[in-house]
Amino acid sequence: MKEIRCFDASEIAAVLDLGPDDPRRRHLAECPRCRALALSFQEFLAPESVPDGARPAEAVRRLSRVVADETAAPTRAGMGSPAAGGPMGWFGRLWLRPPVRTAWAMAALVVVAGGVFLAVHTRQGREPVLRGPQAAVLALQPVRLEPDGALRLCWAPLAGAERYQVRLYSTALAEVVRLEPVTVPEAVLRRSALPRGIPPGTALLWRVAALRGGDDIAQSPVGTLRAP
Amino acid sequence: MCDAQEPPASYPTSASTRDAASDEDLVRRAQQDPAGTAGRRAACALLERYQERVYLWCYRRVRDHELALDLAQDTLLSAYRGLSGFQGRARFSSWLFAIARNRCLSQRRSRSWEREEDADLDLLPGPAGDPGEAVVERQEEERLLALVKRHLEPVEQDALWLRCFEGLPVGEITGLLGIRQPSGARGVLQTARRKLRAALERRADDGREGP
Repeated sequence: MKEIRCFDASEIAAVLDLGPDDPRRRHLAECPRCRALALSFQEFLAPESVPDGARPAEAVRRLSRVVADETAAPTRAGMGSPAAGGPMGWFGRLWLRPPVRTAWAMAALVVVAGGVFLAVHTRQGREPVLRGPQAAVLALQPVRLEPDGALRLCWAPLAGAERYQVRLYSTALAEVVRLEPVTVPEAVLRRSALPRGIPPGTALLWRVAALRGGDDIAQSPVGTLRAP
Repeated sequence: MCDAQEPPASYPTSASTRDAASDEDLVRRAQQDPAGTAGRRAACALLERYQERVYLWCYRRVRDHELALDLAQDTLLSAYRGLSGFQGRARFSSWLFAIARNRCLSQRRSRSWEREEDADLDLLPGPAGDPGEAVVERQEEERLLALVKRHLEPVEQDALWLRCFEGLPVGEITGLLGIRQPSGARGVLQTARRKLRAALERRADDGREGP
């Protein structure tokens, strides 16, 4: 009999709707990991009470404003702005305004590309080459700087991909870290995701693998970034 | 609030009318006309439908209002930006849940150096610190899963997984699992830990146990 794999979080609603005799439903009943995921999802859908200290009314008011603002203005970036004001001062907001942010990103890319070029061409011996097992079909988009210093990595979605995983490499092409797979075509790279031995500002290479059923079905070209 | 920026000509404004549309209807409308007013308002209505749930779910995990708000905002905006790529193989609700869960797990990992008072399950794998550790961690999780299935009662299995991999605080686990004993989920977790430790020691002794 074919073994049922554990479910991805995004699949759990569909599994809960299956009949009790379905093998996937039986797996859910027997697997602690999937059962915990299902409990967590049910709690997401129907929270039983408001926990102490939560302020849902205020949260809804602020989130509604953010959502309305984002969905009302498709041409305005509005990316990552704090829910209401936030700790960033006018100076920070000025330097992170979209046109200036784009200029910063472009400048950073030029610096990184130069750094990578120099690093690669000043080393002795045969250079390693970063190649994926499949043709690169995932198009990367420019890296965006978030107000909190994290980097937002985006790429074009790929038909057939269930999840995506960002993989980071040193300029010597040693793998540094793999981020948790995501179901949306973007991920945020925070300082905390990187090993301690990678100081902020370190030039890194990144690529995205599209996953289906645990297998890589495609890989993106390699992009460059500076460690947050 | 969906109507606050642009007063609509035909957009349904009453909660009952909005609620009548299924998630799938709203997703379809948002995808059909992503840049148009109708599509954006459908997306807005869809996200507003879930915003309180996302916030409360995040709050239960981080116990900090502002942080939960940041995570909820991040989740909702990511969902909006990724909506065009949402292919409907998953339900919208569980797709959004997956985004929120990833956000919370990432946040939890970033604060992993903070020891919580109830984080006494030192048998379990820690967060990935270097590239090799991530692989080891996944293998460890599989080994742990096999041990948990073999040696723990269902309520202990659920409590352990909710605590360690879903990031739920002990008090929340007590409520979610309906644990009635005075020590709540803490007692259940301590029992689970004791059993697991014994199983690990036996495995170390005879070197046969494990997947």
